[in-house]
Amino acid sequence: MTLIRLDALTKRYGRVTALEDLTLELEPGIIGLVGSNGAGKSTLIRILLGLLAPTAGRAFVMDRDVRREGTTVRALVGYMPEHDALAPDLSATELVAHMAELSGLPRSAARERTADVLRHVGLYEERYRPIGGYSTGMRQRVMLAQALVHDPRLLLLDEPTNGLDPAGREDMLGLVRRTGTEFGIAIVLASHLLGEIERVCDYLVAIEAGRLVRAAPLASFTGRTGVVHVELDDDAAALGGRLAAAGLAQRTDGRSVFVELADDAGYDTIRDAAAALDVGVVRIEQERRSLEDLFRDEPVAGGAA
Amino acid sequence: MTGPTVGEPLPADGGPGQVVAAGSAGGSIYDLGYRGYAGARLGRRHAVASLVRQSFRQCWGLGRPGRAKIVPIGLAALATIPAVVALGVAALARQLGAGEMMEAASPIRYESYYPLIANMVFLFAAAQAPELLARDMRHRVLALYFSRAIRREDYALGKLASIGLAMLLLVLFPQALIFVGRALIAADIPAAIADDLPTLPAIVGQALLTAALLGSLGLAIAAFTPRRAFATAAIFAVVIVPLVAVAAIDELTGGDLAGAASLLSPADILEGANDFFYGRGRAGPTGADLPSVTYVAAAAVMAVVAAGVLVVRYRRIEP
Repeated sequence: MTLIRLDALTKRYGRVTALEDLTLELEPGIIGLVGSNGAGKSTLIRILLGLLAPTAGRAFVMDRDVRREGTTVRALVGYMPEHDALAPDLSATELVAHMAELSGLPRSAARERTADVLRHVGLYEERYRPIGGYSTGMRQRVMLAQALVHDPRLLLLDEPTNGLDPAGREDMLGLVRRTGTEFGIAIVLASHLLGEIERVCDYLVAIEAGRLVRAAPLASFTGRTGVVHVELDDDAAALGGRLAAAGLAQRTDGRSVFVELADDAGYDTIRDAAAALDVGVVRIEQERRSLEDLFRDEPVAGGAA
Repeated sequence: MTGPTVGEPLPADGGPGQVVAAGSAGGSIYDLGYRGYAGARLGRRHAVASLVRQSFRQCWGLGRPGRAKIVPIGLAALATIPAVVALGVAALARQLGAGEMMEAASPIRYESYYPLIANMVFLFAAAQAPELLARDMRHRVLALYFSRAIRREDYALGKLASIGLAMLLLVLFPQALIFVGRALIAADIPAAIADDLPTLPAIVGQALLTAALLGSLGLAIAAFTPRRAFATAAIFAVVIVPLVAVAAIDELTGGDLAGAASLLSPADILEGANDFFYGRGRAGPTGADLPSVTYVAAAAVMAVVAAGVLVVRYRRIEP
């Protein structure tokens, strides 16, 4: 089963293009949807829910066309919007139970699952009190609970850590990660914070200005690279020149040289060159690629990366 | 730990949420954790029924703090008092042997009951239609509704059904009291019921038309603002301003203009429809004298247009 399939999906608001010709297939898993604010993450999620109509192209969730079979799709999908969507006069129990019924659960099952799911997100006695008195962290938990209550096959989370303090952020991400790994619910987590995506997801979709930048397993973004970072106690230009003369692709930056190494013999070349120039080496470290590189125009090392 | 793959139903005990008996000598603590759901998914029809039930309760402030009940229950009480008083007086008169005389003199009858409580019904629509819609718009709860197993039209029409049912109850309850009361007071119960039975279609017809027209009109207006007070004022104005205007036009010019204007005034329309249901052929402002059936048609058209506006509004609204 394909979890999500996009087929030349395009969305325009007047002359502004929110999504441009997005074609993509995603398998079930924990998928990070990353992009800066306004990149089109929310637009994509809202199209998947049938809340927005695409200008062109089609979108499928679990092999169902979201336009034609919207209610069927939505019965199997949980959604946590990026904004707070809770009426202050209801209690968490009332709201979540009502939402469960609106997803098609019979009344008794709705109540039972409401109790379970509120416990799962960590709301206990306070669940009977009106939501108006809740903290932001508690409100976000209620939002996650209403998205989970009908045991969806897919959870769409739009910036679920919005407005949370660092501890609340940790809790929420842990909860999301557990929900995805332990309960086998596929998750699409939209965030502009790369760190969050790195912590929770195992597949990544990057979009920028409505276009697909890349879609691949997270490991392929953050794995080890062949690049070694050499930091000196002096200007690195001379060492860089020597390494270039030795046939290594490199780039210097102040006191640092980034060298592309094909094998371990490269380390010897670096050592010998440093010794010949009589410069002190502060550290030699293998570079890890980070998600930020995705949005960096510059290649990691002298065009060789 | 990896869970079951997506797409396969989770085991009933939810895999990782296995029941862990952590207890020893005394009791046991069961950590049920998150569990999957393998039970029935009843889909859209059930979802809409649930929405209607919940909204109907909301119309009456049920399950809400006391202050939410004051307005709807208070208006219902005010609309019911005349029926109770009439029954009390009729019962007393019968005890005193003056039943026949009272029957003729009582101002409270089926045909005059709707005009008597019309203001309570307007107020109910003005107060409770915004109650049903404003909260979901203001706090952006619509995003949660529209991402579930219902369509946008279902939300709009479900809300309409719920306020329609509430207003039907508001209008029918007092008259049902009169119906039952008259039968119980009468010496010959079957005969009394037989007497009143032919009036039933008129009672129900007028109540249906009232609920449909004021319910859809109220919601169609309330759908355009998340501010409850604005919506209430607007609904009340839409009912009262034309009523006053028609009376003024009738006073000043008389004749056809007042008649035409009255077909755009919800209050006049419902009064005219009431005349139709109780067998008066002509109705409307004194100068106009239109066939009373015109008002039934006007009520139906206005209700359908208002319901259409409501649905279109919810199709376009940004959740």
